Amino acid sequence: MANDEGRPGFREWVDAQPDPGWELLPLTHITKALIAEDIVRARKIDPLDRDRLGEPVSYFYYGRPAFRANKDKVIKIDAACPICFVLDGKVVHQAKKFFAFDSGAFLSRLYKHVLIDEMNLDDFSLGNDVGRLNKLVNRTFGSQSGYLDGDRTAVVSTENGAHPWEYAARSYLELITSAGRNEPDDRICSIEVVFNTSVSLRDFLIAIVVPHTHWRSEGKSPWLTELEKCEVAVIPYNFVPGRHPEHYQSQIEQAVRAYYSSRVSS
Amino acid sequence: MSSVCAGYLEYASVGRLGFVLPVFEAAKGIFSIQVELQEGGFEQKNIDITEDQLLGSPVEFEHHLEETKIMGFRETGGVIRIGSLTELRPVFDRFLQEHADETAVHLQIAELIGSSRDRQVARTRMTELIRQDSGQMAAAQFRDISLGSVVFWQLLTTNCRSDSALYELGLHRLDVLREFSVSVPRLIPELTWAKLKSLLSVSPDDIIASFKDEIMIPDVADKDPVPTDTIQSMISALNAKHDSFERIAFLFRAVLQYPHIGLDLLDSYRDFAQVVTYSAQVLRARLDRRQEYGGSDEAVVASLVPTIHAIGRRRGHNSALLRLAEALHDYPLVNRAITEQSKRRRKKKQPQADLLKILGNADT
Repeated sequence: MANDEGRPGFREWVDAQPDPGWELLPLTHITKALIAEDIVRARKIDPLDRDRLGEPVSYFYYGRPAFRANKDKVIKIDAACPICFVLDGKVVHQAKKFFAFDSGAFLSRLYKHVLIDEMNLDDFSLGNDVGRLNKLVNRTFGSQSGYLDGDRTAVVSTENGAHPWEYAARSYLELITSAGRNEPDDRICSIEVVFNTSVSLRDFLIAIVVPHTHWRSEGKSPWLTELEKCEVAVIPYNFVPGRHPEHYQSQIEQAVRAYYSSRVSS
Repeated sequence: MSSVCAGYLEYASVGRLGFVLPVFEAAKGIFSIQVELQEGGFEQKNIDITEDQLLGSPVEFEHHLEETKIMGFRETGGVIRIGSLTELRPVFDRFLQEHADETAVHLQIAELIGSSRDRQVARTRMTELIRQDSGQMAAAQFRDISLGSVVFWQLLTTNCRSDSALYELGLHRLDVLREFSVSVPRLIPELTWAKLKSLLSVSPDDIIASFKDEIMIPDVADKDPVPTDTIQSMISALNAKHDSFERIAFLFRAVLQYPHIGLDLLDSYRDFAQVVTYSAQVLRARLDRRQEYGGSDEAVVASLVPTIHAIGRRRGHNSALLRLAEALHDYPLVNRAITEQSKRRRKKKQPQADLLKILGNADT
């Protein structure tokens, strides 16, 4: 039976997995360049979105710079020139809640090809138990690199991954290995992290991926200089206007992946 | 057929010279932007804005939005020009002449309408600007990952043997770009190249040569030990190396080859990868206690070989020993330490032939 946190079956399935003992992955937050500058000046990411109950929240993804360009069939402005914040994984301890996938896509019924109508969003909540993040990654993709790459070929089969009576877990495994209804959408296998309080950049920002146009003849944007002084890695990508949003997404993914690789040995 | 550009949006910096985002009215109150399709051509995508967010005034023009790319550009005086790339070419030419120092916009123009040579020059200038402002690591990231991955993938797709090969290449996209994001083509493992060879109409060497032409990439795989004896040039050379363990090996070599500045280098160098910084700090601390190692700097470096090997293995980086061997094989104590480690490795796995060859122990 469902309660305020949804049905407990999915969380029980995750809790039964062994803790792989991995370090937490960083969190990513993608927004448009103009808003990014506001965020850096304010030195925090405020909860400016609204969840389904109308509460102010901000959305991040665990590890992956997941693409949220399409809001149903409409492109978000962010996709025209995105910037990606990368934050130290320790910040997840301040999160309100985690979901196994993108909650907005669920509410837009983009997962209805697999999930039945009676399933609720909270059935796939991980609560705010940080230990469940890596347990879920380990159980599904087997490794953090498999999860970061969104390598669905690495995902455990539904039959081997959950018992027949673990309905939510089976549905989830079915979902993340299913072909998207339209173009591939990596939100389906990206863990969403929801905050209802401001996230401090000073304490947690470790890198930012920005368009190369922030470097001008007279020097780069002053706010980027400020970040570099705080030892934040400022990573430029080649921004050519008019490209498909997925092109920019790919650029950001490459940059973030390379950044992680440079830290892998750390 | 006429279309209407309802206004524009800023990409980033408000009021700056350069490109803006033209927005079209798809229906009353519904707005769209033009996006390039992966397979070529353009399409209209609705965008989540309202009319009051739009800047500028409506402009009517004679173009099919599905056929002609429409761009927006702010030129000197703040005037916004909307039109096809052909129509805007005089605007771009004027801009290039009047603002020779606007390197970032030059690159955008070159990528959109420039010749191969224009792109080369603009990419190199932009990379240099980033290097001056943000250092070699940011510049290398920009050149090798951002510029490089697009160019590399284009080279692969345009040199496929057939449509079916192109389809199969697409299936390997994840693997190829994953390898690329931690390397550059020349260093992509032979295993990945083996998958690609049968799909390509040219050799991997041809792809690499074309890639270097497009990106003007220095030959980072050249294993010149330490090219010069100034700290700044050493740091530049270090930053051009993509492999963390290659940088560690370089640092170790620098200390042995140029002892008079080696300590200063260890003190001043900070790396993206903590393992490199950590290794430099441990080496620095042990050098302060060199008497414990018989007073020999080489013995100090040799003592770190097992540590570096262990870190590499824990991180799944199997070439750590190889990197050390390439840079330090001519120091007998270090050579011996690497050889010892390679023998331990051999118990579970055949050591790399190239490692033994470098160490001069092919019969070990």
